[in-house]
Amino acid sequence: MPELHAKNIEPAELPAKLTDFVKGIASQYPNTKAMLIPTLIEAQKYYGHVSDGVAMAIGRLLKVPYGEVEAVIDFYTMILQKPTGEYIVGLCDTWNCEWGGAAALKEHFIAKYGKGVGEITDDGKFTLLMVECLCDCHNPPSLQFLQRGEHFTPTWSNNLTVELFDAILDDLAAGRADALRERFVRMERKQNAPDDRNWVWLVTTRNQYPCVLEGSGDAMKVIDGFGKFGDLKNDNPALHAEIAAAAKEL
Amino acid sequence: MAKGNPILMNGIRHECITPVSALDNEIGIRSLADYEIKARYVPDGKPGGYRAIQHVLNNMSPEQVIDEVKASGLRGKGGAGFPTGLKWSFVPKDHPGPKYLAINGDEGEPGTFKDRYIMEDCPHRLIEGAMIAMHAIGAEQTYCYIRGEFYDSLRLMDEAVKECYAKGYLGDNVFGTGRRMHFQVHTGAGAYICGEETSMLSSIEGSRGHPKMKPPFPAIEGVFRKPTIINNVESIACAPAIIDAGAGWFTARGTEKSPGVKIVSVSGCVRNPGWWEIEYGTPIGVIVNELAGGLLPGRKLKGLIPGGSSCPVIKGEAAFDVPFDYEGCVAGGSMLGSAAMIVLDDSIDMVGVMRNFSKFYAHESCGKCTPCREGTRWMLQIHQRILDGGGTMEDLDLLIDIINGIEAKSFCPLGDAAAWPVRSAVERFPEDYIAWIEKSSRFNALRTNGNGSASPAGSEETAGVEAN
Repeated sequence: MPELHAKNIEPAELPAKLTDFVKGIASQYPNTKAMLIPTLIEAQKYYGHVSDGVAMAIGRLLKVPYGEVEAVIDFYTMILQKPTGEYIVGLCDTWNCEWGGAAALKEHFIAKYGKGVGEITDDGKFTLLMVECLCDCHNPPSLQFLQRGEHFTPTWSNNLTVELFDAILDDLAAGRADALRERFVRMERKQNAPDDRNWVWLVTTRNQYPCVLEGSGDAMKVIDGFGKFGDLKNDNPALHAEIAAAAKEL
Repeated sequence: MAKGNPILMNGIRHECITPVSALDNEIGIRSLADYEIKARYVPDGKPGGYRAIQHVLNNMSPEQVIDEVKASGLRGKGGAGFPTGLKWSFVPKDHPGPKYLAINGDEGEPGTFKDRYIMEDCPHRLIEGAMIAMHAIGAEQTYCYIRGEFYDSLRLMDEAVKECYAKGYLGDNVFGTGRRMHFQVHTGAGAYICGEETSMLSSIEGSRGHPKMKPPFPAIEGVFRKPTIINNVESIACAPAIIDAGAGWFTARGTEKSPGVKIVSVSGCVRNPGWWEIEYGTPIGVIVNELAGGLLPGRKLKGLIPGGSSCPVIKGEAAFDVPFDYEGCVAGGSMLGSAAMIVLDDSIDMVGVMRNFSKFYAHESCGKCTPCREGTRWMLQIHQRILDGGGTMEDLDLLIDIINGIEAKSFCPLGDAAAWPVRSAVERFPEDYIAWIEKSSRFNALRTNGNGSASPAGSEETAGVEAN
């Protein structure tokens, strides 16, 4: 990743992928200014934030006056002006998530790293940001881990508890490959079951699955209507083991 | 009312209580090939995605499409409920130069989670709907504005659009008919105000997301100062089903004034939160108790917000009897809004809820007009002061006074959205505020002093207040 925090950057110095992105969407817009926000967001994927130099270069690339670029950067909260850690931890704190325990997650992060919202942790790994409603209000508290890089890969985590959050942060910091794998949270009897079978909700860090339990003891099987857990055995054996263990306890 | 089996794809809970749900069969169909084979709008309709648009391009004039959508009574699903067909007919037919369709996927209302799942789980349905709308209004370009936080929606929509371009379903020669239809996914950057239609246009133009003066309405002068139709994702996603099954299929469901189906997202203090597609007019009690599994054990309903955080709170169990449609919710003292039902039980303190809502609106106010910019912040400060133990009885009047200054006096609906829930809380749940205020030292100091029996502690506090 090129270091582009210096003030003056020529448009030619912007990554080729960014200029290709602009060329790719140019035919869809009647003027270049309309491409400003998508281009800034795209640039942020590479640099983690939009520095003054990058903003100036993008302004010159799109022939938008720097003042207008700066006005846009100022207005939109997702365009970050300060450097961030490798992962942005975007935690929702609107009502549903606040009710679901977002404040505890925030306090835990601050206590764990001694860094407030918007600051980079000492290991350079994380920046906590409070974001607006992520429209995941049925699984509070909800957050997105965003990894800086070409794809800015988001990973959703919801129904989080402080213990799980802590474990995920540790795994990410240690660079464990399965850090963001789906984890088991709890299993609940399903209300409003469609038939007489033994329906349960399987709550994981990513989703809630309506499932049927069959058999008992060691022969207990967790089944969902779409063969999801058949795949899961191969995709995510750890989660499958956690589910099987919890099913026995229920 | 038949209850379907729970449908689960990609882990999303989706149970349908209408036996003929439009979306039901398409959840989880992401690829174009699957959509063409599997998509089926209604059980008795023919399967096959992109059939409706081909039928429209070959057999229907724009006027016929508009008439069909008008006849279906489809109302905008974003909040205001304006009839979609009527909106489409506002575009000047003889306008020279380009016209645009803008799809509003800036879903950010706290409590709402419906558009996200349409964009992530049946993106082709949205694209097909957009093509039908483009044909109806004579546009050649769609901008689908999706909020920046929805990385998954943006990526999946982008992939779906690329598939369509590769197959010639979008481009300069759509289905070989010679029509030009382009579709561009446009990312937002984290501003709630861009869900307001004119702010969204400002944002597409590459400016700060400030609302614009109406009139001229966007249908006359919208994005890039050209006629523009703005529709919610869910409204556009209804179009293929209406064309495929006919307006009668749509009007057979729901109520007379609110025909059709609607996705309701239920969150808050229920056992089984999630989203379902229901018929308009379904009583709220059925939605909460049968679909969302009812309240948590031992709790009673305190209040219910039927349409997302910008709608007034309905008080008490009476909310269960309110029919869930535009007229019913208004009669019940609230609004349908974006159909984001937030259930609040008796463990919830309304002052805390309103502090959170006010914080949201204070942060998201764009700052263009004074009533909203200042008023939302004052509301937040007063709520914070009450919760910090510094409230007085005058604060209730002060809140109403501030709300009177915001409501209908702000430039765009964000001010109203901030004011309505707080007004309903102050007027319908004053006991919650009073409980906090009665605990406040400032209030007690003033009261003791007023009785003429000032305690030493009281007079010190009062002296401090007066000095301030």
